[in-house]
Amino acid sequence: MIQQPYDKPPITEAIIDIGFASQHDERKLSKAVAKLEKSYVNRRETTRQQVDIDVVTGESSIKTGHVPNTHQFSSIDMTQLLTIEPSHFILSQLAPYPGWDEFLGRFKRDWASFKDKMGFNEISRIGVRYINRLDIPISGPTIEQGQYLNIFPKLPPEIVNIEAYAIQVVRSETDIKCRLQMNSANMPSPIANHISFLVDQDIIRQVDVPQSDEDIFDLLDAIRLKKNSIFESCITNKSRELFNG
Amino acid sequence: MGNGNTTYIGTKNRPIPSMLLAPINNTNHVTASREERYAEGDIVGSETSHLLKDVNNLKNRPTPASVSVDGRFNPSDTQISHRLFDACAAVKILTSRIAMHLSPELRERLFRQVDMLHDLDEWQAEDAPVNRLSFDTFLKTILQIEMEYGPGLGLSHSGNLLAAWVDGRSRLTMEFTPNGRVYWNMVRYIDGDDELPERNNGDVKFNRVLGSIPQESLNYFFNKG
Repeated sequence: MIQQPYDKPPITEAIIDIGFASQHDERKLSKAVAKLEKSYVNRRETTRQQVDIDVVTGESSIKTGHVPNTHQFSSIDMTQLLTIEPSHFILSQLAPYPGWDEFLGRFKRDWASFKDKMGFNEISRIGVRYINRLDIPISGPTIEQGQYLNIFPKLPPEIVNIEAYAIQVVRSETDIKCRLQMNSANMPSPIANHISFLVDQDIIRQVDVPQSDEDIFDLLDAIRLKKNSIFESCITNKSRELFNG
Repeated sequence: MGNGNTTYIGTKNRPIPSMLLAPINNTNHVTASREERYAEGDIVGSETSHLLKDVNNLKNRPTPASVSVDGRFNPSDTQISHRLFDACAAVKILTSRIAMHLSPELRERLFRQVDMLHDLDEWQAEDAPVNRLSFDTFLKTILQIEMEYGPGLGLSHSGNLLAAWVDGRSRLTMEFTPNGRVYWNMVRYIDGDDELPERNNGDVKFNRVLGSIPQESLNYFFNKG
């Protein structure tokens, strides 16, 4: 059992995204959907249409029947989402975040149901994305961002009091053969008299992608440790106080 | 001042940095068409256009929740059951944005009432389901209130959320509008139910609700021990 470090984790969305080398077999997918439906209260199917436009004549035509649909399952409170796209299996958890054990447990449950009906399909990508939003109370005309985050734009002294920023960092996490793409920015706060900062980590494996369940779960655990380590290095104790306040 | 070690961010008039960010978890992502065209490389030279496309490729993909709110839930959907589901789903996803600041009990109470208000069997065809922006005003308002009990919820004919705190014949009601205004109306029987009540009302921005209601009444309605 993994202990949740914070009373009010700032995670607004956590995502596990499994990408496949080829599109799902639609006949098998309908069986998988029927099985997954038992675990969720809601299911919506999005019909996709292919539109062909002739750039010479300007005429368009709609072709249907060859573009696989997207299926989205959700819990009654809409915090647990599962999206099956033509070549993706995407599990998503909105706030309140229940912790890794529960999130991974749901992944294992749904993955088993999915694979049971789909059989083997080569996995080309495994990604874990955590979107964190830090809500900082406003107490003056400016906020010293460095009091809350260790990731910020380095600016010359001549540029004072910026209004907005966005930073992106991409790097290889060689020990787990993954690529980290991290965004940080200020954003409008959904809470009155607050300013919010975003820390959005997307950690993706696209080489030597595990194919067996055991190896997939091991990788997900390794990515979790990595993203926790990176997030902790990006925040300050003042931020941690906010998550336990 | 930017001194190389930290950065100061203005707390007023904060624009959204749109350069790198795709829609994230139902953040309202509004980009002017000229900016969109610029980002797509339509109104710059071909070399810059390639660079901008490379930058666009670095954008993070929309998340499942942002797709749900921005693309799936369709206000023009004519099937009532779909419209009701979409309205409930949209406000629940909206609530998830601030769920870490709500008690689980209050969240469950709100959702239970939202579901009851949109019960298909009781629904009148001429009514409007809850307006997402009205619900947003409601959330922003209640996050400022330390209350022991959640309010009872209702809907206006136009889909504005109504909230009421009631004690006997005394009551405080609020209507939350999509543009961030809150109409509140209070009736309090101070000296017993036989006396004429005190009446107050206000029409204020959501962040002025607490400042516009007498403190004694706030204590009375929100922190009944």
